[in-house]
Amino acid sequence: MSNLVSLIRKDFMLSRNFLLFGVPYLLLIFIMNTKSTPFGVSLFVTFPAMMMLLTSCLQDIRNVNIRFSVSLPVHRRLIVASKYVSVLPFILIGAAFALVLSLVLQRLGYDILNLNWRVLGVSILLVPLTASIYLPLYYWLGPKGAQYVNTVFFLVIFFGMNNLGDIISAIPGLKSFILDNADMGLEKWLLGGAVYIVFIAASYLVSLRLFTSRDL
Amino acid sequence: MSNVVEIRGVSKSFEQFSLDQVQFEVKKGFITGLIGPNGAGKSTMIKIMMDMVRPSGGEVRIFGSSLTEDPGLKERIGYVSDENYYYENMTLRNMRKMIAPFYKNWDNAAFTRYLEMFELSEKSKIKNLSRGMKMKFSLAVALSHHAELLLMDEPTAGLDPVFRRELLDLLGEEILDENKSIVFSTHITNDLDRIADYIIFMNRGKVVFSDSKDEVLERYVMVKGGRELLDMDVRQVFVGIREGAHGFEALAPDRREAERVFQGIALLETPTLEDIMYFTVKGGKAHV
Repeated sequence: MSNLVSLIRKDFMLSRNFLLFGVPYLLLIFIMNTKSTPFGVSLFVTFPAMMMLLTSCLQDIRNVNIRFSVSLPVHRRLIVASKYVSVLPFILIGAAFALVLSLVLQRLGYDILNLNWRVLGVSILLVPLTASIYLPLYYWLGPKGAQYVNTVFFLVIFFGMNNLGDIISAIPGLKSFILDNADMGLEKWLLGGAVYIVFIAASYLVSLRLFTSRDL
Repeated sequence: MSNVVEIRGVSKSFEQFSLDQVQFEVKKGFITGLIGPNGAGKSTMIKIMMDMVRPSGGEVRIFGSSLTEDPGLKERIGYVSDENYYYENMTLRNMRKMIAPFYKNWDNAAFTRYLEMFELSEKSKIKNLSRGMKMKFSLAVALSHHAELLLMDEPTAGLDPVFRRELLDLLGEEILDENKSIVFSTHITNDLDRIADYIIFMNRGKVVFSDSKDEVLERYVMVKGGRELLDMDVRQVFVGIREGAHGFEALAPDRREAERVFQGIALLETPTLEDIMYFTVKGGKAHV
């Protein structure tokens, strides 16, 4: 097993308890929100994925647990990379969660909005984007400061989940952009994609620089 | 005789403390004790060796290379911290599952054997272990991937006397394999009186000496006598003096010089490591 996979596995082991405790809450929010937000089912890909990342990071900053990762025979850059890459399996878990829940709720007679691929894509892309904002702050502020960052992100995610429909409607043009199925044109897609990738890459480099110079 | 650790001119500054041009080696196949009072820099030095703290100057070579450049070398190191850094909510079994894939030489049978020896259950959660039990678990992990170098930061702190002695015996057995080396930091110097081959003494961020234990104990001498012997010239002979109502005891760093001055008029004794540490740290300030 490669060390990157082992690090991601470690993060999964640290965050899987969230699935046990978070599922009842998610179920409630899911039922409450499926009709009120254009994101519908897709939104619930984002939520578990981000919560799992935050939970694994929270475990790392408790006591002096970050020393555990650094005591392992892996380069610090791999530790940072694993946090970024771990969002991919977390997204898959979130997608599986959303799929199962939507099927169950449909069977139970809940009216669930049809799956919109653009909405699903935006929901998925939100995860690395949010992680790219969160992780440099996490590495910059260190164990004590990161506790505050975690609290803020937990609140933002919970608040955002409950009010996403209103937030989207409040931003002019955002709702129509998300739901508009018309082709934006290749240039805009490419430009958007490039900006997105550059942002994540820049976030990774900042995190790397912060963590490799930190004393633990 | 080859070195497994080479520290050359290492410096590091913190707000209230700094390491200043620290220099020493750790010889392969021996137990090296890192002693000093609290705040001397022992834990920081071990963290620097583990690449957890990055020095501002100097060079750290482990097995001839830098851990910063080649962290894979940590496969050959077993690290025991003075603080628990394992995840409190995890069971020992899950910690083992988490750790094992990182080490090519991980030995599950050895791990199970050490857990049995230390009377630890794999079902226990880390948070339910006492400090001593956490230390035992940490040791079990360090010994289960057949590390060639054990870096142990205050491993006997929090252990009961029975297990402390068992641990020292265990380390004595480990070191029978000449490929293994142990660095053992402690302020309980009795432990090192028993097992150490080499001693590195740190005080206020500096190395006071780094030598074989036998040479240190031969070089230093305790002098005990009446206070009438103490004048300004005589005081210069000592590293530290402890004066009481009826006499003094003092540590001299040069046995020959002390024998020349005090033979026949004072009692000369071989000091313990604790004597050397105490008098060096206290200097001329110790009084009864």
